[in-house]
Amino acid sequence: MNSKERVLTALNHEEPDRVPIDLGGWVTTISQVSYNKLLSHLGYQREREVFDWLRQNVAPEEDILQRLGVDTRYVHPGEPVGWKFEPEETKDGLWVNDEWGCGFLKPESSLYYNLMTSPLRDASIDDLDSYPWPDPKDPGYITGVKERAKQLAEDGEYAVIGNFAWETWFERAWKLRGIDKFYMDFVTNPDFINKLLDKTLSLHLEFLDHVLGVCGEYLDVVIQGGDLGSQQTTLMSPQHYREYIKPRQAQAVEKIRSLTGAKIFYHTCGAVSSLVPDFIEIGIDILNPVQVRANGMDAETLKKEFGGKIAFWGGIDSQQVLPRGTVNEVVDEVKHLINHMATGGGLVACAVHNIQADVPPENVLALFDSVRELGTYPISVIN
Amino acid sequence: MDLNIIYEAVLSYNVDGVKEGVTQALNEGMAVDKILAEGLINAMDEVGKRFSTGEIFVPEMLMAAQVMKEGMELLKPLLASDASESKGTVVIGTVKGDLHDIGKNLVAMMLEGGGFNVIDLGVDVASDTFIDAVKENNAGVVALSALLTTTMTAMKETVEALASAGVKNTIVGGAPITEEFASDIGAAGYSKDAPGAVTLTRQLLQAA
Repeated sequence: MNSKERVLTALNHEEPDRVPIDLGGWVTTISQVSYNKLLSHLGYQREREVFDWLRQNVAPEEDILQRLGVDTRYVHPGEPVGWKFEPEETKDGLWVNDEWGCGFLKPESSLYYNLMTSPLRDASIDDLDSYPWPDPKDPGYITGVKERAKQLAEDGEYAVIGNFAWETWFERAWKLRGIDKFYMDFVTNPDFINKLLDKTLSLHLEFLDHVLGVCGEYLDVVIQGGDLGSQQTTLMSPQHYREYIKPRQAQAVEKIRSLTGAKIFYHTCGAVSSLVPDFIEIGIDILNPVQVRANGMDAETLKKEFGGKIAFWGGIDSQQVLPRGTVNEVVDEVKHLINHMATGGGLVACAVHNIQADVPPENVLALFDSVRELGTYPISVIN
Repeated sequence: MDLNIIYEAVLSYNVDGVKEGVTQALNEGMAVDKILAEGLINAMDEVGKRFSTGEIFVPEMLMAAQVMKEGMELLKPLLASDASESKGTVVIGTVKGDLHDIGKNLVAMMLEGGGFNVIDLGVDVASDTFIDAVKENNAGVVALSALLTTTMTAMKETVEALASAGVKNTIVGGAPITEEFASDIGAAGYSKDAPGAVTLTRQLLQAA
C-alpha cells in the first residue's frame, strides 16, 4: 500500500496498513525556527526560508518529508500578481498591509506577524460596496498549480492535498472588522454581518472556481477552515453558528463538490464538539486539528461520538506535550491517539496545528517515528 | 426605583435602558455604591455565570460588558476618586512576545464589571512594565495572559520578576495555561475563563 492509498483508505473509514501521517499544509506544517533546528539536529548544513509570512512557517523539503515518512504532498496557490509581501521597517517592528488592507506588525519580540488594523472597523453597510476587495481570480494564484497537481496525481505515490483555504472567508471578515466589533455585530448588526460574510464568501467561491478549475480533478483533499472554538467552548452560540456560518460553510462545500471529488477538510481550533454533527450534516469529511486538550475534544470522546462519520486529522497535543514533554511523553501521546482513534480507520495523524518554535527536534522525530512504528493495523491497544 | 431594571437592561444588552435606569436611580438620590453593586456588578456576575455554564458566548459577553461600561461612565465621576474606595486595583496585560488580546480584554472587562479599577497595559508587556505599573497604581493583583506556548516562558519570568519585586498576587490564564503550569511557576492562581478571574481576584483582595 502506498501513501496515497493509505490516506484514502483511512479517509474512507477503512483500515489501511498503518495510520497515515501529515506535514506541510497551511495548518499542519512547522515553524521556520523549529524546522531549522531539526535540520541541524539531522546534520544538514542548510536553512529553510519562510513560506507562510503570517505564521513564519516553512514548506518542508522532499528529503525531510521522506525521512519523516509523510504520506501527503501539497499543492499551494501561487503568489498573487496584484500584491507583494513587502514589509516596511518601522520603529515598532516590521509592518505589512495584506491584500485585503489589514495591517500586520512583527515586533522583535514576536515570532509572527500580528493583526493591528482592521479597515472596516468603522464601516457602514454601504461602505462594503465600495471597499477595494482583492481579486480572487488573480492569475498569480494558479501559477504552477495545474502542473504540480497533475505531476503528483500521475506519480500516484502520495495523497494530493489542495491548500486552498485562502485564510478563510470567515477569518477574513473578522480581521477586516476587528474581532470584538465583529462579534458584537452578531447581536446588534446582523445586516452588516450578513453582507460582510456574503461578500467574503463570494470572493472565496470565486477563488475556488479559479484554483479548483485548473486542478480539481487531481486532488484527494481540499483544505478549508475558519476558527469557531476557544479552549472551553464555541466562540459563538450554536444558534449564531447556524444562522451566520453554517449556511455559508454549506455553500463552500457545494462549490467544492461541483469542482472536484476530493474530500473536504475543515480546520477549526478549539472546543467545537457541539458543532460536529452540523459539519457532518453539510458534508465536511475531515475535522482538523482535533485540539485534544480543549474541552470535550479528547480522542476517546470524539471517536465514540463521531467515529465513522467524520475523519480526524491531527490529534497530537501541541499545547503541553510537544513543546514541554519528554520524548517518552510524546510517544505516550501518540499511543493514546492511536489507541483511541485509529480503529476502523478515519485517522490521519499529525500535530495539533503547526509545529511551533518551542518544539525540540527530538520531539518532532518522536512524533513522526512513533506514529510509523506504532500505528500498524490491526490496532491492538498499545501500552 | 427597582434596581432590577438596570440589572435586566444589562442582561438584555439594552444600553439605553442601562443609561436611563442609572440616571433615574441617581435622580432619586440612590447611593452610587448601591446602584453600582445591585444594578451593574450583580448583572455582570450573572453574565459571568452564564458564560461559564455555556449559556452565552463571546458576542453576548462583549455586548453586556459594553452596556455595563456605558452605565459605569455615568457613575465614575460620582464614585470617590480615592482608588482605595474601589474594590481594588488590578494590573493586566499579555506577556512579552505575545500580541493576543481578546481573552485578556474579556478578563479586563469582567474585572471592571466586578467593580475593580483595571490598569490594562496591553500586549507584549515586559516584566519591568508590570512591576512599575503595580507600584504606580498600588495594585493588589496582577493578571497575566498568554495564548502562545512559546510565550509561556515569558509568563514564568514575569511571575518570578514580580515575586522578586515583592508582588505575590499574580494570577494567570490563557488557552495553553493549566492549573499545573500556574502552580509550577509560582502564580497565586489560575482561571480557565474570565469570570473565574474575577472570583480569584476577589478572593485574593479580600484576604489582603
